[in-house]
This record gives sequence, C-alpha cells and structure tokens, in this order.
Amino acid sequence: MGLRDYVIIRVLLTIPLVLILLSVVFLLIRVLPGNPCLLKFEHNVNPQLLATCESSLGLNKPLYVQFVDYFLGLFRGNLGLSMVDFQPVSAQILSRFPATLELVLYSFMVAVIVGILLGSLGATRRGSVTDGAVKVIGILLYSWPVFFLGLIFQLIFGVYLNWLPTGGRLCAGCQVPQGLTIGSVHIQTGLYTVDSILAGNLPDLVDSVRHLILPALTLGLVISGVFIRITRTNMLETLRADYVTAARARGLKDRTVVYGYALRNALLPVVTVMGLQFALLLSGAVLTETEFNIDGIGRFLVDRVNFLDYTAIQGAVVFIAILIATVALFIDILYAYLDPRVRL
Amino acid sequence: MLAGLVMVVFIVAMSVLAPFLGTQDPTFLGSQVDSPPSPRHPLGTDIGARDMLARVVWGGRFLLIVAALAVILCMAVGIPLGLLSAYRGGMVDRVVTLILDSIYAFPSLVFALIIVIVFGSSVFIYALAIAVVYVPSYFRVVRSQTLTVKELPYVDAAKSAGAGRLAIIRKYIWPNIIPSVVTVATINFADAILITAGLDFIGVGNLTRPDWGVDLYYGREAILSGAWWVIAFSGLMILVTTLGFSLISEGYAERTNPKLR
Repeated sequence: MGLRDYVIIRVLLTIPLVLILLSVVFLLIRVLPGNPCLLKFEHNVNPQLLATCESSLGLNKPLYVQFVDYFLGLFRGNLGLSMVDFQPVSAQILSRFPATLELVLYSFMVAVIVGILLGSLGATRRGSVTDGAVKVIGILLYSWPVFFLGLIFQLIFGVYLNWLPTGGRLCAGCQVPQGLTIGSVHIQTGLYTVDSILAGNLPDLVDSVRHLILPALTLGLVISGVFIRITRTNMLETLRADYVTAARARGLKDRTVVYGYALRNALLPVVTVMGLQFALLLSGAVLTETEFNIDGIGRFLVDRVNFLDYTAIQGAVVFIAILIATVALFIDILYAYLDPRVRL
Repeated sequence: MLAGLVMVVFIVAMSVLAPFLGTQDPTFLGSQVDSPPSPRHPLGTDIGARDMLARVVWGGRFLLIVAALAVILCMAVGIPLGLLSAYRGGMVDRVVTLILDSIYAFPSLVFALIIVIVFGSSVFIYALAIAVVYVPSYFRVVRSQTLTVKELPYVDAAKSAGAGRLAIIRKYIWPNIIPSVVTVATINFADAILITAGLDFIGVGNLTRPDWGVDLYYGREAILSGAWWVIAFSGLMILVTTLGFSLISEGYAERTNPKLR
C-alpha cells in the first residue's frame, strides 16, 4: 500500500471515532435533569418567554431532530449557541484554544526532553545505580498526581521564593501581545510567547514565559514518567540488536553508536505512544488549567459544567475528540512515513 | 514490588481502621482556621478549621472504595467482552472494538467528569465513570491475548479431542490472560485514585466529604498564605497509594515477563 492510500484509509477510520464520541456525549448530556432556560430565568418566567428561549436553543424539537441539526451544523463549524450567554460556542472555544495549545506544546517539550534524556541514560548504564535511580524517578513521576505537583511548585516558587507567578497567562492588567502586521495581513496566533516574539516585544515574552514555566513543568514532568520508561525499554532492546554490536565491532565510538544508531531506532515506537499520551496530556491540561487559572478549553469545560451549559460542554467534547483524532492521524501517518513496514 | 505492597497495606489498614484510631471528627468545623501543626492538631487545621490528622486518616476511604468498585466493574464487563469479541470475530468484534477504541482514545478525566456531572457524585457513579473509561484497557489485552492463544497448536489439539468452548477458555485461555489482567488492574487502581481525586480537586464532587482530593481543592486557597500542611499530608497519601499500586504493577509485570528486567 502506498503512503497516499494509507493516509486515505486512516482518515476514513477517524470519522466513526468522532461520530461515536459525539453520539455518546449527546445522549449523556440530554439525560441531565434541569432545563437551562429555567435556570437562566431563575424559575420566574412567563410561559411565552420560556417557549421563545427553548425554541431559540432548539430544545422544543424531538431528540433525533436536535441530533441531526447539531450534526449538520458541525460540518459548517457551528457548535450551537451557549445556553448561558447565547454566544456561539465555536467562537468561545476557538478563543480559548491557543491557551491550551501553548500549555500542551511546552509541557510536551518538557516531557519529551526529560523522557529521552533520562530513559537513554538509564538504558546505557543498565543495572547501575544511575539506572536504578532513573527507574525510580520514572515510576515516581508517573504516579505523581499532577495537581499535587502543581500545588507544591506554586507553594515553593510562587509563595515562598516569590520567583514565579502562580496563575494566569500574563501579569494582571497587562495587554495581550499583538502579533505582527505586514501590510494588510495581521498575524496573531493567540500563543502569547509566539505573538510577543512576532511583535518583537521582549518584556511581554519574558512575562508570558514566566507564567508558563510552572504549569508546563508540572504537566510535562508528570507525563515524562511514561516517556522515561518507554525510551529506556526500547533503548535496551535496540542496544542488543545485531547492527549495534556490528557498529561497536567496527570500532565506532560509544557515543556515535548510542546516539547515532541506537537512539534513532529506539525512538520509533516512542512516536506511536505519543498519540496516546496526547489524551493523557489533555486530561492533565484540564487539571493544570484549573489550578493555574489558565483560560483554556479545560477550564472552560469545568466552568460550563457548573452552569449545565449543554451546548458548551458538548462543543468542548466534540472539539477535544476532533483534536485527538487529528493528532492520532498525524502520528500514524508520521509513523508510516518513518517505518515503511507499517504500510504492508 | 515488596515496597509497593507495604505502601498499599499501610494505606488500606489505615483507612479500614480509621473509626478505631481515636482521631477527631474529620468534618467537625472548629475555630482555628488554617492553623499550623500544634500538639492539639499534630498536622494542623484546614480552611474550615478541621483537624488535618483526622482528614488524612479518613480521607482515603472514599477513594479506595471507588477504586475497588471500579476495578471489579471493569473486570466484570471488560473480560467477557474481550473473550466474546475474540471468539465471535466478524461484525460483533469490529463494532465493539471501534466503540471501545473511541473511548480509549479520549481523555479519561473529561469522560469521567461528564458522567459524574450527569448522574451525580455517589460512590457508585464515580466507580461507573472510571469503569467506562477503563473497560477498553481490559478489553484490549483480553482480546489480543485470546486471539493469540486460541490459534496455538495445543488449543487445536484440545478442540479435536472434543473439549468444549467453555472448557478451553477455562483451562487454556484463562491462565494466559491472568498476568495481563492483573497488570492492567493494578494500573487501573492507581489511575482510579488519580481520576477520583482529580475530580474532587476541580470541585465537582461532594466537598463536605473527608477526602484527600477535597483537601487539595481547599489547599489551592490555603497555600497562598503559606499553609503547606493543608496540602502536604493529603497529597502525600494520594502519592503513596498510587505509587504503591504502580510498584506492584511494575514488579508483577517484571516477574511474569522477564524481558522487561
């Protein structure tokens, strides 16, 4: 099978995944007791106004019609109106997505760097004290509740040492970095670190990085536990492979053998695991965003849950499902590209 | 593995024996808010002036019950489903695998959050929420192990000697899937604790319950004034529990699969 056919089949397989999640969540949320229109008017409302509110949200239609409407809207990027503030949910989600993306990207970087460094360190010194320490650190990080680690960091670096802020994305009252305007084109990513670089604004960059350090370290370190273990195990297997022995026998330097030959091959299976880690990363992001007051998708979800905002909850879930499907797809394709055997 | 067992036994014993340990009432609202450790309150008090020692001792009961119930539910559903799927094959297998794979790929905390919001925050609902997100893990290992084992020559031999399907499952398939199921179950236990405490931490659970996750929820405010004792002990308890189960899982996996060593 060529790479193109593989990609097409993989894309087609992604659709049922999103569809199933959408149906499950749609039905689950409709089971919820309570009418958001009644909640909105705090139960004192004349029947006419209630009927108008219900019809504007489509609540008066039969369930299957609501489902079909929602599903068709989805293709046009329409996730419905929020049941709390009657604003389009898709716009609310898109405005919060950059915060989540920025957190997830930097956490992922921390996880991969720590994971690969410690994992390969342990494998190359197999059985030594260093290896033992690496194993313990791996299990410890993997078991550490992400919210507990966050609280410890906030307490030490935010409260006691007062080095770093304990929440938010920018200092209170600071203006959001504006990005770059070239002629009539305006580039603004919503990732504050990127936008401040684009705008050439050093103080903003420093400020956004300072706000990111603690949350990204918290989430990244907890996720790195998995990477440490996988890198170590794969590296151990690769180091036993014939071509590594052959490279050693030819008198290549140990560094060249380990980092030039073994590591590259050992990292191949790590790539597939990244896809699954992404779901873990998003679970962690919900907790980390809540903890560090980062206005991302996770905190949006938690906030809206308290108001029984069906459409917003559903929108956030659909968005996360599509995001995960896209990442899984991308990683599978990357893997198929890196390792042609997958396509056989 | 031994260290893990010691940790788990310690936590379980403390939680089971909590009513007999003579601690103060973990829900009693006193008058000294956020006071540091003292002879009267050896681990200090929290934002409601509740005794932290009592909360630490009592705080694991809910989490452990939820986790144990979740593991039982997962096994009761995931194992038969995996066997069925592997044996029946065809359409049944494809549909079940597709649905469970979708759930498997989704962030477990978010899924559990929605279930708890919809159905309430009782012990059973928490366990159900965790079971829903964890059944796919059991299903996957049972299905793949069964598929491998059922093609082995000795199973064919048993079949031709007239052994029934149930006999084959009991005698040949079951012993082969036990190690993987035990490994998944121990990780499941640790994750169940993390998810339950995580839901409490974001404030969706019952905030009046003595619970390590709830303590950390209140701790978010408390640490801003430097009250480290509100988070330190309860957080450590969660860590010891999850670490204990992870160590058991790791040790057991190494014992049954020497390649991992």
